[in-house]
This record gives sequence, structure tokens and C-alpha cells, in this order.
Amino acid sequence: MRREQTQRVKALLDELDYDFSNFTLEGFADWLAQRRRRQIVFVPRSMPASVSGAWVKGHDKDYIFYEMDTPIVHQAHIQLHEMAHMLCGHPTVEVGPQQTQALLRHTGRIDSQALEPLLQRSVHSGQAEEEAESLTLFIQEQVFAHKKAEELYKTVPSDIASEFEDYFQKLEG
Amino acid sequence: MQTILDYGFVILGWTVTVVRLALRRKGAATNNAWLHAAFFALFVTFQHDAVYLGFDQLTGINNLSWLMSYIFMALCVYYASLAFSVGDRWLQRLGLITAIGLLVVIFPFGPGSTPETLDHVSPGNIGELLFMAVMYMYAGATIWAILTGRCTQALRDDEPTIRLRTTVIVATLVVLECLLAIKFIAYSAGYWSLPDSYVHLITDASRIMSGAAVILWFASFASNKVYVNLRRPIEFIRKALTLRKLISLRKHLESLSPSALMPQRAGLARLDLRIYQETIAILDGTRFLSEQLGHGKPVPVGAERLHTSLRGIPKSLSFDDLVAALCNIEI
Repeated sequence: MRREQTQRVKALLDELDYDFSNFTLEGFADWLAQRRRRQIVFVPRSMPASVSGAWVKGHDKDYIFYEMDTPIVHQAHIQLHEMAHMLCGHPTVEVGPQQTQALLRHTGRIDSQALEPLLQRSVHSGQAEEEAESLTLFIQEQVFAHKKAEELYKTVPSDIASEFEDYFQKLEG
Repeated sequence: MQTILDYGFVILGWTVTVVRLALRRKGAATNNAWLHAAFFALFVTFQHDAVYLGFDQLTGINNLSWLMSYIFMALCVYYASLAFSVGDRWLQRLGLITAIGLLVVIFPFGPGSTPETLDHVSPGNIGELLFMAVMYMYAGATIWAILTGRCTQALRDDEPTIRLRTTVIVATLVVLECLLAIKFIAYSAGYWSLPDSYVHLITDASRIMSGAAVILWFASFASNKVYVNLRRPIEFIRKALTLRKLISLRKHLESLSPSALMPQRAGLARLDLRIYQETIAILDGTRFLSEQLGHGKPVPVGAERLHTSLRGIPKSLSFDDLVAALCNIEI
């Protein structure tokens, strides 16, 4: 990664003004959601082999899809990596309500012709990936420096059940 | 030298007792632990020549200090067994009462009937032999119960400092058990009729073992900070070896399936972070390899076998277990 890029990511981390002494991945996700004023929904899925995680922008919520068929520490890393894309301000794919529900309802491996291209489109460019990964590593460094490493060994719980409840309530309403 | 050691043991014994009592008052230690320390301090105090002779002179009973020190030793061992929750409490109490009862009953025919002596290396008559045998059998059996019970279980504790402290306790108990066994066997084999050279050898060995047991006993009460510091070099070596295995696995994986994102190097001073980064890099690499295999792309020899091993690791493992599993993968 180029030096300017590293400096940009470091500056970004400094600007976050986040208190890492109380770090939890769930708390970090809440903090980010408040900062963006958009709820973040974490969705565990069997992802296509080429994608470990994907951030999809819904109408009023952000959806982070992450590979569930990998050790928990890796799942947590993927979640943090996708949040790093948000922090870096990278663009991502935007989906309408129907596509969102299709993604949420699809509980098997995401490889159907309709869904995989959607998630593939959310895969960022090489530079964006490097930036997000770099920010992820800087965040992890901070977490380790504040002796909170064990917080990186657990995922943000998925609130997909309440997401469906929301969906059906809207349908009934 | 012996005098300095004797004073040293008494001072150590009472220091531990005072510290344990202070911790007990703060609620940071159990009653059993400080009572164990207190009776040990009383035991070494009554074994001290000056106290031994002074107390006997005061009471006018020959070798009464010997009886007192044995009773304190029995209580010390009893509270150690309570601290480790060994076996049935009722049995433990029965064992203690029986041992003390026998010591008191035998005393008039043993040490109480022989001239005042500070030398307890060899029994003066059959009464003294029985007197010593009762003590050794009770202490030996109780220490054996502690060793084979909770104490050994604690060696498998997740917390490394607890494991290290338990190792010291086990070492103390093993030395004590050996000491008791040597004396018991020597007496049973007719110790007083052995040649002088053997007597000296056994006496010297007993002294060295007693000293080692007291020092280890004292070390087992050292603060947690001492154990954390003791663990540091061991932990550093262990982590460095783990990291070396992870790096070679990651490099091997990269040679089979080059991944786009390389981990940052955090330096040896932050081994935990390096281990974490290498673990993530390996898991990322596994995904890359899955993608290659999934698309039927040609892969180097050994890639499929490695992929199978990596995918075979259970997903729900804790981080430490995951790292251990990765280290066990044969490249």
C-alpha cells in the first residue's frame, strides 16, 4: 500500500475519536450506526467462495453479510472489515426493499444467479479493499494496545430474527 | 548455617501467616489457607532449638515441644487438605483426631520417657518409633490425597499462573512425601542399627529435603505478580514458537494460493497481535484456496490436502484452540 494511503488511513483512525479502552465489537458497531444515523444489520450467510463479506446499503439500513462457515474470530474480522469500508466512505451497492428481502430470506448458500451478482457488485476495488483492510488492522492494533483482544474473538450478534419481525409487521401494517 | 536456616524458616513461616491473615481480613484469602500457614509457623517455631528447650524447661516435661510440633504439623496438613477440598470432611476430621489422639497416647511411652533431646533423627525407643510413624503415616496419607485429588487437577487449569503455582505446590508435596517415605522406610528397616555412614547420608538428605520443602512452601504463597513475571519468559518462548509455526503455515498457503492482502508486521514485541494477524491471514488464505478449488483451477500438489485440513478445523473453537489446531496442521 502506498505511503499516502497509509497516512490517510491513519489520519482517519485519529479522526474517529473512539475510546478503545472500552472496546467491544458490538459497541463499536452501535457507535458506527449512531455516527451514520443508520442501523447496521449483521447477516450470517454461506457466502460465495470469492466473497467473505459484503456491505449492502438498504433504504434506511445497512446490511453486512458475512461468511458464517468460518471460525468465529474470522467472522468478527470480516464484520470489522466491512465496517471499515463504511468508515473509509467507500461506495457500495444500493438495493431496494424487494432485493433486500430476497437477500434476507435466502438462508442457503448465496450462489443463486439472482443474488450472487448483487453481492459481487458490493466487492470493492483493490485500492478500497487495501484501505479497508489497513484501517481494520489499525483498529485491531488499538484494540490489542488497550488489552481488549478477546473482544475481537466474538462477533456482533446477528439480529436477523427481529429484522424479519419488522418486515412482517410492515406487511401487516 | 543451620541456625540461620532455622531462624529463617521461623521468620518465613510467621511472615506468610501475617500476610495470609491480612488477606483473610480483606476477604481475599480463605480461613483454611491462613490457618494452614499459622500451624506451619507454630510447627517450625516449636522445632526451633531455643523454643524447644525453653518450652520444655517451662513445663518440666521432656520433649513436650516435640509433641506440640507434631500436633501443629498434623493441623497444618489437615488445613491444607481442607484448602484443597480433598475427600470427605468427616473422614478428614476423623483422621486428624485419630492421629492427634495416638500421638498423645503414645507420647508418655515414647518421647516423654526419653531424655530431653533436640536430635530427632533416630528414634530412642519403640515408643518414639511409633510416635514418629503415626505422624509420618498421617501426613503421608493426607499429602498423597492432596496430590492425587484437586491439586493435580489444578495443573490442567486454563490460567497459566495457577498452573505454575500448582506446580510449586505439587513440588513441595512431592519433596515432603519423599522425605516422609525415606524416614518411614529407614525407621521400619531398623534405622538405629544401620552403619553410621548410612545414618549420616539419610540425615543429610532429610535436612536438604526439609529445607527445599520449606522454601518451596514459601514460594507457593508468593503473590500472583511473582508468578506472572515468572511466566513471562516461558510465555514469550511459547508464543514465539507458535508464531513461527503460523508464519510457515501462512507462507506455505501463500505459495499454493497467493492472496491479495498480506498482514502487517507488528514486530516481535507484540507477539499476541502478530499471532492474531497471522491467524486471520491463514483464514483469509483458506478462503482464497477454496475459491480456486471451487472453480476447478489447477492447484499445486498438496493444496487439496492442506485445504481439507484447514476446513476440517471446527468453526466454534476458541481463539487459543484455533491457533493450537492451526499449529498442529502438517505442512
